[in-house]
Amino acid sequence: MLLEVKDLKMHFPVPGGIIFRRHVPPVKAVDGVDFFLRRRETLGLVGESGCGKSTLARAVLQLYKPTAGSVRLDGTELTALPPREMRKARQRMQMIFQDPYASLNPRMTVGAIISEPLRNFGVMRGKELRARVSELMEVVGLSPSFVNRYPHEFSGGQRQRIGVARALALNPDLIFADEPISALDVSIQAQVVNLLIDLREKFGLSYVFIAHDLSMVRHISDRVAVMYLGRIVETAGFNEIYREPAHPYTRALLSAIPIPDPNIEASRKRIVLPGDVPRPDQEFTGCRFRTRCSQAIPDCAATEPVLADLGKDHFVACLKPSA
Amino acid sequence: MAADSLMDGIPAAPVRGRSLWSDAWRRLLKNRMAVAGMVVVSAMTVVSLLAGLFSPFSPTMQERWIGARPPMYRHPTVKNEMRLKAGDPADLPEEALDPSAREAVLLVEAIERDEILRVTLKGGVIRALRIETGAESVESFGASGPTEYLNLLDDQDRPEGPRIPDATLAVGGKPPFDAPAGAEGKAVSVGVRWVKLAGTKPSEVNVSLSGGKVAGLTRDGSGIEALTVQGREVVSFMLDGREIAHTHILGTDQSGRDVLSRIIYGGQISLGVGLAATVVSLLIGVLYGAFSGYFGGRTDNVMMRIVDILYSIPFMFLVIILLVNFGRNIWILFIALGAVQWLTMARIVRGQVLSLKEKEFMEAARMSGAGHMAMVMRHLIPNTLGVVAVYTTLTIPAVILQESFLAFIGLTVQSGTGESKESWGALVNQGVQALGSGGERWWLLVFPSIAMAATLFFMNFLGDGLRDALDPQQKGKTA
Ligand SMILES: Nc1ncnc2c1ncn2[C@@H]1O[C@H](COP(=O)(O)OP(=O)(O)OP(=O)(O)O)[C@@H](O)[C@H]1O
Ligand SMILES: [Mg+2]
Repeated sequence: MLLEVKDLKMHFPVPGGIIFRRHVPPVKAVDGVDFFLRRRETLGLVGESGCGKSTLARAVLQLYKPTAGSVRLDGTELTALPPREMRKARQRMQMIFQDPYASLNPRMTVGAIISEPLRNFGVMRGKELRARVSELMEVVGLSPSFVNRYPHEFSGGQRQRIGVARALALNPDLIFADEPISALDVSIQAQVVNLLIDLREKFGLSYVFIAHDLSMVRHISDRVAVMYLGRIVETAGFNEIYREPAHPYTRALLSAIPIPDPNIEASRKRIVLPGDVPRPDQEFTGCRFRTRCSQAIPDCAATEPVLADLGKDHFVACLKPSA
Repeated sequence: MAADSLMDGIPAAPVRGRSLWSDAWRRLLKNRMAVAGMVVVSAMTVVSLLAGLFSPFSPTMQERWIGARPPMYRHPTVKNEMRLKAGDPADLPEEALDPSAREAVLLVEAIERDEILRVTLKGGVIRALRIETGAESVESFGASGPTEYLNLLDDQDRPEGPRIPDATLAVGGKPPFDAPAGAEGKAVSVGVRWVKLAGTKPSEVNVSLSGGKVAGLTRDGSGIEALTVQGREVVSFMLDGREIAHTHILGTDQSGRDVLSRIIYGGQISLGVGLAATVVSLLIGVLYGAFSGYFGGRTDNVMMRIVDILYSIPFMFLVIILLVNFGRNIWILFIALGAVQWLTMARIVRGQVLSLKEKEFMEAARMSGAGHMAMVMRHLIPNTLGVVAVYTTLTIPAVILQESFLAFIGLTVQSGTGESKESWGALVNQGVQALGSGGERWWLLVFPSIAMAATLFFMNFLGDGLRDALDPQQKGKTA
């Protein structure tokens, strides 16, 4: 097991009151998440905007200090590591960011951006470093002659490749790709996904690939985890979840994927969820999805469902799973 | 995956990237006012830096007999200090064979009765003063005692030897050598012979006239190293067949000092103070603001409260007290003015940093293992420099104005040697005082004011242009 996350919580305190302190409930962006990732496996993490996917990634990578829970990388507990050790552990985990515009320092050349991890960790320098940067640029499909250019001279897709090259620089085991394609044109999305797949084969990488709908993770994921309001509600192999979604929320997400065959597409029934996602600073009892669930039973308000094993790597957090 | 297909539209040849700076530079060049600002400000800076080359006179050179004269006033004169080539020692008269002896002959035109000619000597002893008027002898030569016409000055220009009274000359006869045409019959030549004292600097003879004109100057015997001639109203002076004349383009002040030269040297002080204080504020402000914003939380709170407290101190008052108590040292002024300005700089940089640190590239940097230093110095500060550059170009004129205010109220700064440095503010102040009831001496006020106003004006143009060029809203959209 490469990565094991148990009951991870990330609550953001909300400063309350201008003069007098009063109690304001924290934003529970991630509220008890369990998942695991095997070596050379890709987990697609799917959920609506604001459900806490980025926060989960950051909490796992210790960019935020998690409120509670455990994160183990190859058995090492990361949440307890002293800062110095944590810095070392970072070399094994990298991140590709959501916004290819904001994630590259506009004042640094591509070469400086890609080589930064190598220089910070003192891995190599001089000629060797330059050769490595060229190599990385070639690997992600950028011409090494662009090494002295600045990020704003590139298209979104090219910038995302720069981000990928930076993530690859330290030869990590694990890469969190936080919606690496949602800011890109549809025509370029496939190119970047294919690049990530190629790199996975070439370097034996493991990914947590974040997206906000299931169609985006279709080609890359071995397994999928569906997130709703700070929790994972269902996780299973991609084909399994595609064929037999157990959680009503997963079914709603699946119904939104267009089907290429026009005849089937015409008969596709979209499940439109009523209402809005509740605010993440709300106090909950029972199931978080029940306010929008068509199958909710009175019990849903009383008991909070936990991930239950349905076998075949399939877990669902629902009192009335439709499997 | 075909890598080449992605690079369509981008020629592979150019390897050098266009930084945001070069983009901004291009935008700046499109802005005419900013370009004008840049040209004027650079010109001002260059002229001030090379004041020695550009100013026609020394700003402290006084020609009191000229007084305040309007712009374009022209008076032919000898150079204030003129170096003459050393002649052949064999030409020396017999009595001057002493190797340290020097002699110069002045041709003075039309000295009237009772007019005064004074000879002073620095670093030497006058051996003889002889007056020749050609065939005829001098009608009268008055001196109050045989040795009293020696005025010996020591190195500090303090009279050392016996004082001389004024030598009174009367005119008559022909000069013994080639006098300028028309000078015959009314010129007199004055020979001064002196001996250099051992260990003294090159001698300098100072001849002043209360009347008449210096018509010529010749050397007799070995050369004179430096000779200063002052006349009340000196006619053209010929040297090697060329006329040497002074034109005071912007006039002179009451002490006969050249206004243009004083403005150029004043610019050196004003711009220098502006620049130095801004650099001080830049260094402190940028680092302070960047670290405060970067660490955030309690640290930020404390650091910014300190800034708030310093803000509330009436700094002008403090600067005045400092200057009055610790002497009008130019360094105190730099530090004091810089210390006021850094507060705003720190606030501006902190504000920038607060928004920048939320950017994803900061997280990316942390993932890349960057430490605090690298985060601040490599990632944050370079991204604030656009705003910093704009604010800097607006700080320089603000500091210039503050210094001018201080100078205007009389707190001029002094250099390390105690010599008073007169900035534009000081010149304006003197201009106001010298103006006269009907504004007769307007040029003393108008020109320094124009110099200062134009500089501030164009600096603000440049600052505005920079702000437009570095407009954060355009950042990232230029891809
Ligand atoms: N630093 C923070 N302080 C307070 N609240 C935060 C912070 N970061 C995120 N949140 C809140 O946590 C919730 C989850 O945010 P997050 O960015 O993780 O969502 P996401 O699933 O990545 O959404 P998207 O698909 O839009 O990227 C949001 O309600 C957000 O407002
Ligand atoms: Mg996100």
